[in-house]
Amino acid sequence: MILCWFYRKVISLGLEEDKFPSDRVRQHLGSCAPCRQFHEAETALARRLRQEAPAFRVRPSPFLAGKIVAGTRRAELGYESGRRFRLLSWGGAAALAALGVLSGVVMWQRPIPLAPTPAPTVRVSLPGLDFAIPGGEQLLRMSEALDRPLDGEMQLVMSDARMAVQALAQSFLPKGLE
Amino acid sequence: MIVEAPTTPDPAPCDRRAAACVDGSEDQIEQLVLACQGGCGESFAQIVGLYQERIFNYLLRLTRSPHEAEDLTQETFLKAYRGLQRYARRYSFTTWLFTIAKRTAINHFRSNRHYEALPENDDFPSSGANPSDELASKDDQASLWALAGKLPPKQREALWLRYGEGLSVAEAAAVMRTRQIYLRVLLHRGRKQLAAWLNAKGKR
Repeated sequence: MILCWFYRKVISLGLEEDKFPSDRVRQHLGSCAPCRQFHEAETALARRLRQEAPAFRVRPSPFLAGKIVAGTRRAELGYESGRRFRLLSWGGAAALAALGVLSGVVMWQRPIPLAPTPAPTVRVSLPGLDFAIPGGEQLLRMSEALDRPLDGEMQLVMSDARMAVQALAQSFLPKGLE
Repeated sequence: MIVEAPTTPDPAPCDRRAAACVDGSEDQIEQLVLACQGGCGESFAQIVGLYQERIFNYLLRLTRSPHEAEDLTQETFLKAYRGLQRYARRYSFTTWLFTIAKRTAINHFRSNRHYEALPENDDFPSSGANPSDELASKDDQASLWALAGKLPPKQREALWLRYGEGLSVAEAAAVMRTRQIYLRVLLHRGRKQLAAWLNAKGKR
């Protein structure tokens, strides 16, 4: 019985090969009536499934084929317009990139600007005041000139302080340490 | 006096191939595919004519809705048309087309949340949700396939591909993206269950 169970498995799995069972299986079928009936039943069932399948088919809508072909043609046109759009977008991107490169070259090649020329001097005349407002370097010279009296004052203060320290040193420090 | 018959110029390659392929053998289908890849629209129309009913019925077994099956059939052929240049003849064109149909159905069920996903297991929506009238009448005429409709979805699909569409074990396994031995197991289990039901009904 165990052997029959095994042979039936082999028969059923081998049925899909559409070939007659092997010699060993055939030999068993010759001696085992139940297995032989099983093989015949399985073969008949497969045959019946094949024969009854066409009657079980459902016919699609008669317009289906036309819709499919129309759909593929629409898809083809859509692909072409999409391709044109992609070409345009790539062309635009290339144009922008070229413009950017050109701008970079122009900026790189532009001449270095010269030092600015000094602004012209404006003269101011007020009651009691008569001076000119300078530009640039003249303003610098003017500020240096304004600083000079202060420098003079500082020098006077420093010399006075030096003299005071020397007098104190002569008065209070022993000789030799002055 | 010998009068030579006027010679007509050879028709354009597209027309010649389109006219020759009518019986649907694999060799001629391959010729149609070659013509399509060369840009022949008539050849693709012939391919549609040869396969639309088969693809529709396969998708009908998966969706159980004629309207959905029609929509998915259109989508399948559209994908096939777009991917025709990538068809590499590793499998037959029939296998390739059915594989596209299977993938289209799976994507359809994944995107429609009110349906359960098309399984890699056997949790398919129960049979007969909205059967068409034609399906109901077919049930009376072919009770064996009506019984097969109650099988788990993978067994049902395997039986249809093998016995309904006539694909070989290798082709059906490629469509279902499974091993051949597992496909044979599915067929074995399906037949075994059908035999048990038939015995119970006393129709054997």
